[in-house]
Amino acid sequence: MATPQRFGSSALLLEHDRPFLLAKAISTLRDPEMLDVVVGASTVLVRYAAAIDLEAKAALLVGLSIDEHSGAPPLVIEIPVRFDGEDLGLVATATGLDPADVIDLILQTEFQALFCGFVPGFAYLGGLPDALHLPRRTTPRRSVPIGSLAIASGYAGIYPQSTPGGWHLIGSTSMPIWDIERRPPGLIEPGALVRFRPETTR
Amino acid sequence: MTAIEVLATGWLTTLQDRGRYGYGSLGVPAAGAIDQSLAALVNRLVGNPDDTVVIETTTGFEIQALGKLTLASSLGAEVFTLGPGERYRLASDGGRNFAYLAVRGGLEVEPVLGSRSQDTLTGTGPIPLRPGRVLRIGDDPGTPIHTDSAPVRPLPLVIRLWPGPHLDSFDDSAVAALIETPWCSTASFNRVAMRLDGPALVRRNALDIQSLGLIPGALQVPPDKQPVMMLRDHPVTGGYPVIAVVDDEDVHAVAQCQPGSPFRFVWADGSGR
Repeated sequence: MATPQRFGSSALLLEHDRPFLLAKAISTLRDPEMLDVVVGASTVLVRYAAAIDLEAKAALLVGLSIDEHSGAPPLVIEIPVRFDGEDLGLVATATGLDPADVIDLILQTEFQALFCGFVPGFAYLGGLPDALHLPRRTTPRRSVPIGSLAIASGYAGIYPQSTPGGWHLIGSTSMPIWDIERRPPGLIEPGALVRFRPETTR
Repeated sequence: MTAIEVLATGWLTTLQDRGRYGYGSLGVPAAGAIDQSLAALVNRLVGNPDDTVVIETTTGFEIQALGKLTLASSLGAEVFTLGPGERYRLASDGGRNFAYLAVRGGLEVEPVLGSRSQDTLTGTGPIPLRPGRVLRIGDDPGTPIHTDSAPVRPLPLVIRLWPGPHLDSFDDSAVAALIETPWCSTASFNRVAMRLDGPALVRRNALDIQSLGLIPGALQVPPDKQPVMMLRDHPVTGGYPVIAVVDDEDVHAVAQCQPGSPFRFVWADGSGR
């Protein structure tokens, strides 16, 4: 594993090609001075309480082994989706596929949440088939309906709240992605596997 | 049991404590008082635990006491009392951007994800303060009140910097500019971030950065080449290059620097880069 880099006076940044695995291993250390572990696209940021010995913390992390087969297997989350997105037709045209093919590709894919960001609970889902890779919309929408399933830049994602958004809307779910009262509040955490199935009732 | 009523709130008047940690991977910022040491000071003056929730403000707020209260503000830095019906107004004008008010006993507000801090980026936290809101005051902590005033330490003008992960992607002139020229805070700030005013920081290459975790003090450089320092409500991850990171202990000093006030950076590791 690459050497942890100092990130200011109380945080360390580590590079990794599957950051959610590294983050999971780091979290098992149960260090009371470790405040948070933040998964990025190709890095993990570890935040510590102020005035700690950062060199000593780095040494603890270097010795960490990441055994992807140890511990619980990733959670598989099944999300019911209605393919009623405003941009489904647009995506079909842009990719040269039938809307039915777009839907099939989504339903057949096992996605993996790589990291979260943008708004609480928004997970960037990797594994989108190449045939569906499109750049973001040139003009973002000022408001995207809560629960919208969208794709862009090789990712899929579900908007946990109604926010501005620049991704292509292909469907929607009524399953709450973010619920502040729930523990954990986010349905999809980095590393979780996500599959979509057709929604039968709403 | 006594209470206060909020009569008026100016810009960025929020409830803050130590903040909430452990939710970064879900996209929730830590929030918390921008100037933790000042929030702790006013709490200590009234005999509260350091991390009791306080009211943080920039342009000010006005409250009315609905009973007898004991308070301390970061402007006066001494304890005072209010009787029932008395009004009080606090605004930051004492050479700092953010001011604090502590009430002995604290404010009874339900914590959200373990903290009473209001995060202005995602809206996580207690309901925002509005005129008409009544906040109950907690029980007397039974601790001594500090009757002598505590001096508020002056802000340091030399700010310690650590190299950022993308420092090498910047031109030598940019790296030199960080240290050799004075920087100023600007009026372009909120609880999320503060733009700094100084020379353009040019990159050696224009390679895209993969989104990475951030902390308060991280200096991001967007395409317009002016650095932006992250503050407490910063987005948990960001895609702009991070040239350097302000030392934890000095972040509040930059955040509290009134617009146009100059300061200088030095490398915290004493290197001559």
